[in-house]
Formats: sequence, structure tokens, C-alpha cells
Amino acid sequence: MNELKLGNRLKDARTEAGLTQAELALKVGVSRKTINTVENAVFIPSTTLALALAKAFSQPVETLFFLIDEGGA
Amino acid sequence: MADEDILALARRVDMRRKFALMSVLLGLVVVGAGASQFTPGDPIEFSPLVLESVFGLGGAMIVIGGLVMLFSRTPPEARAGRLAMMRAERMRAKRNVAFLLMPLSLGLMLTGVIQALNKVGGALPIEHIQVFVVSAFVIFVLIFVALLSGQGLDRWSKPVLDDELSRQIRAKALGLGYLVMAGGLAGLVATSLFDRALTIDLIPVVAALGVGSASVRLFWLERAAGGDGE
Repeated sequence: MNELKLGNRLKDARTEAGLTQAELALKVGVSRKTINTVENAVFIPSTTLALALAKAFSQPVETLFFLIDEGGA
Repeated sequence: MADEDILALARRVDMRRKFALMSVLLGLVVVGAGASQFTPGDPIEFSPLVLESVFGLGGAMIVIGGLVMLFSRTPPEARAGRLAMMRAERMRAKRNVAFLLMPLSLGLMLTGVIQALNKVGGALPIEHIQVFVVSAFVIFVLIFVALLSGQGLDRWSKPVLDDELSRQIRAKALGLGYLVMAGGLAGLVATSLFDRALTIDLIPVVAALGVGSASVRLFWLERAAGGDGE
């Protein structure tokens, strides 16, 4: 199996919604650092958090998070 | 009341509670220092009047601090929702500095602890202050481990201080601490084969290294997680 990584469009969605990281963090109920590290793909969120983030933007979770195939197959 | 007013009030209450807690802890230190005079071995004897004063002072500090803590109530608005999260974010920065100070405070106590262990090993009379330093070291190690593992967090601060990222960062930091401590213990077992006195001397060093490495790693990971944010 190729190496799969999690990509996200969280920063774009947040900017479009006119929210700061702190404001989004307050909305979802996590720390600002969590939002920051998810955006920078340093931290892989749990399914619960991914769904909560998608709900905050009223978008399906697949539009915010997607898989990147690093194997190139 | 406006948000900033509530936060300012909560800050004042937090400050008052902090001073009260310090009073209780200092009171315990004073009482502990007084109680250490009853341990056998030290030729220095204090008069009953001095001991009564020490216990009186320590007891008063504990009672006053305890009463202040009991009657200092944070406004309910600051313990829920948005304001609670804002407070917790501010608290996070202060906690991070505390993580960096943990190995420093353990390091400062190490000399006294090793001296005490040497005296016990050489069957020499141990001084009261050394009994106290060893007790303080043990208590500090236990408190630091509890803090590093996220114990004792207020419920209102958990969405920020005990969220997914915080738990993952803590796990990484504690993992390093465990590695250092387990490696150190394995080294101590090897050392005990040829030098028992040195093994005993190194026990507090291994404990301090284990706790210290976890706290410094936690500090760096927290710092890195907050970088280039908005």
C-alpha cells in the first residue's frame, strides 16, 4: 500500500469564513494551537474533531480533509 | 458585566487564590521544618518557645490561606463557554513557563538530597534540614509528575488544556521521560554490581532527569505547536 497522508483545506475554509484561529478554536471547543497544528498538517485530528470542524463550516468532512497519495501510484 | 470586566474579576480571584495557595504551601513548609526537628540525629535543639512559634506561624498561614481559597469564588460566567476558553488559553502560557522551571527546582535540591543519602550511607547523623530537603524533593517529584500528566486541571479549562493536541503532546513528553527514567534505572542496576554507594547517590539524579526531560520536551512541543499562528 502506498503511503497516504492527510491533507486539509482548513486554512482556506477559515479564511473564507472570516475567522481567526482563535475564533474557530472557540467555536469548535479546542485550543488555538490545535487549529494551528491541524492547518499546518503537524497534527492529525481524530474523526470526532474532523467532523466537528466540518460542522463548524457547514461542509462535508471530505471537502476539508482528503488523502494525499505520496507513493505516486 | 462586559467580557473584559468578567475576565479582570476572574484574574483578580485567580491571583488571590494563587497567593492563598502559596500561603498554605509555605505554611506546610514551615510546619514541616518544625516537625523535622523531632527527627533523631541532629545535635541542634530548639527551645519549646521557638518550636511553638514555628508551628503557630505555619498553622496560621495554612488556616488563613485555606479560608481565602474557600471564599474566593470565580464568577460563573468565567467558568464556562467562550470566557473560560479565553482564560485557559492565557493560563496555558503560564503553565508552559512552569514546565521549564521544574528541572531547575529539582536540580537545586539535588545537592542536598545526595548529601543526605551519603550521610545515611556512611551511618553519620543526618541534619534536620537534609531530612526536609529529601522530603521536599520527593513531594516535588510527585507533584511535577501529576502536573505533567495533566492531573488536577479544572473542568472549565479542559477544552483548551486537555484537548486532543494537548494529550498527544503530553504523551510524547511523558514517553521521553519514561525512556530516560527506564534507561537510568537499567544503568543503576548495572552500577549496583560494582558500587552500591554510587547507585544510591544516582537514584535522585535519575528521578530528576526523568521528570526534567519530560517537562523540557513538553515546553518545546507546546512552543512549537503555537508557532506561526494567528
